[in-house]
Amino acid sequence: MRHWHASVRASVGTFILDVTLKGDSSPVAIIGPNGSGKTTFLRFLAGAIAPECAEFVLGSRTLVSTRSGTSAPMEGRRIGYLPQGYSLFSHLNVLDNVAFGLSVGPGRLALAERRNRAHSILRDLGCSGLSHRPVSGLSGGEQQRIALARALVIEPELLLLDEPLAALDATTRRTVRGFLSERLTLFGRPSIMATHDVRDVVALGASIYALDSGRVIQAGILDDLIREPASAFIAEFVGPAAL
Amino acid sequence: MSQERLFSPLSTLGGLLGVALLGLLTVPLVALALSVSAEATLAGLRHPLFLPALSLSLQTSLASLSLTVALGTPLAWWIASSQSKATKVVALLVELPIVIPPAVLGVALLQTFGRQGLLGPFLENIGLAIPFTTQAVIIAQIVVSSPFFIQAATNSFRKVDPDTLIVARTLGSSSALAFFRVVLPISLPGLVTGASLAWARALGEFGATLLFAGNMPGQTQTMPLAIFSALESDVQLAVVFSLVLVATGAALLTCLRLLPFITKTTWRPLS
Repeated sequence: MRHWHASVRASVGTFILDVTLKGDSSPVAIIGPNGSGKTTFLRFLAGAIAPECAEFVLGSRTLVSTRSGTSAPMEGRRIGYLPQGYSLFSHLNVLDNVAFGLSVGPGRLALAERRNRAHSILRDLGCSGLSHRPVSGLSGGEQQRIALARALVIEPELLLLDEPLAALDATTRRTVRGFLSERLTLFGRPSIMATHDVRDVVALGASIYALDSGRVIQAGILDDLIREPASAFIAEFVGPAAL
Repeated sequence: MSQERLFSPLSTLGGLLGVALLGLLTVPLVALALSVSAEATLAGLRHPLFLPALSLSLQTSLASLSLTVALGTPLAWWIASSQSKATKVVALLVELPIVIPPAVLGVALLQTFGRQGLLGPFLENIGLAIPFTTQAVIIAQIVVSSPFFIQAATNSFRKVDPDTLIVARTLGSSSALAFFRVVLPISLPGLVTGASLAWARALGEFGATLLFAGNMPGQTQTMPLAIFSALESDVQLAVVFSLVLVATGAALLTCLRLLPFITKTTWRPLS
């Protein structure tokens, strides 16, 4: 089991994020209304936001500790990040998007080797046919798979997914949700997903942190939230209409 | 009722106004082309002022373009990406030369680099005399043209999704590597547009050059200044020189229009 925990106090403009979350190899879902701090928290873990006060431990590595002045550079964290809308590199084709993580940094591989690995991960995810396609013509579901492949290729120790299904239409969403939960189970390492949909939580069997205005207002498993929702938002999120 | 019909009275008026402006933009060029004979063209191209001025124009404008791109790219990236409030002030300062008349910029450059100027005593100490030299031509061109590049580059950098940069970093790139491998290629079309605008502006630069660098054949006399000189003695000669500049500009614009197509096909191989 790989454990992680993160306590962070950070301000972005007038918004203040002040949360403590922890987990192990099983998926964690972060829920909350827009502007509750889900994306800010994920970006902090990725290293894109400088906190005022924080501690972030992933397995045996302390990635951030403001007390001891530690802050691992983003490129050394081995954290996979799937932003909202996926942010594929528009100047590269699918294969080179996936191989990107093997072309930079200390783990840099030779061209043939990184293309091999990218090919094999694309095959795993069932999209070998897309290798030489430009990313501009891909469907939402395809983009999501490519973004996942691109993140997985560096064998990250933590995977961050920011509303990975939000950009998809309802039908695609159902298929991709099944696919994603299957892949995350195979991944077997910690993953954190920000989501607006309780069905994602159910599919992943994730434990839940509910955020509001930059704070954790409730944490637990789905049943806890159904039994005693801490806010109207949570009640609606887990309510019968959502399920 | 179709939308086209709804707006048809407006589009007729708009069309007329558009045609009037189009005429104003193109008729002078046609007039220019019609006003010179073949013999006069040949004589103009053989004129002793022509080649030195054209070559000086190309050399100085390419030099100023290189410096503009080298110095302007980091500045544009800073303006586009920094959270600092100073970016707004800097962006405004950078745009100033666009609204200041070139003649004023020429005088300002003299007051900076001239012997009596702000940096004059210092430059004299290290044995540098800049006004009325080829370097002065290049400096004048940078001052008038770099704002166009910086503006286009800043806009282009602003369009790069910040998440793209975060992803590149998490995948193992240092911030410098992420810039060169991701930000720069994605923004390239915008940078090329900015560079072309700046080049065209530098090629046409007249006022600041005349005041700060003078009009010495072979040394500071670029094509626009050669046209100015020719106009005093021989209108036909001025017309021929002008046509050469028009052709250069048109070629530049054509390359610019073709570039996105070329880059698209080389960057995004078809399946």
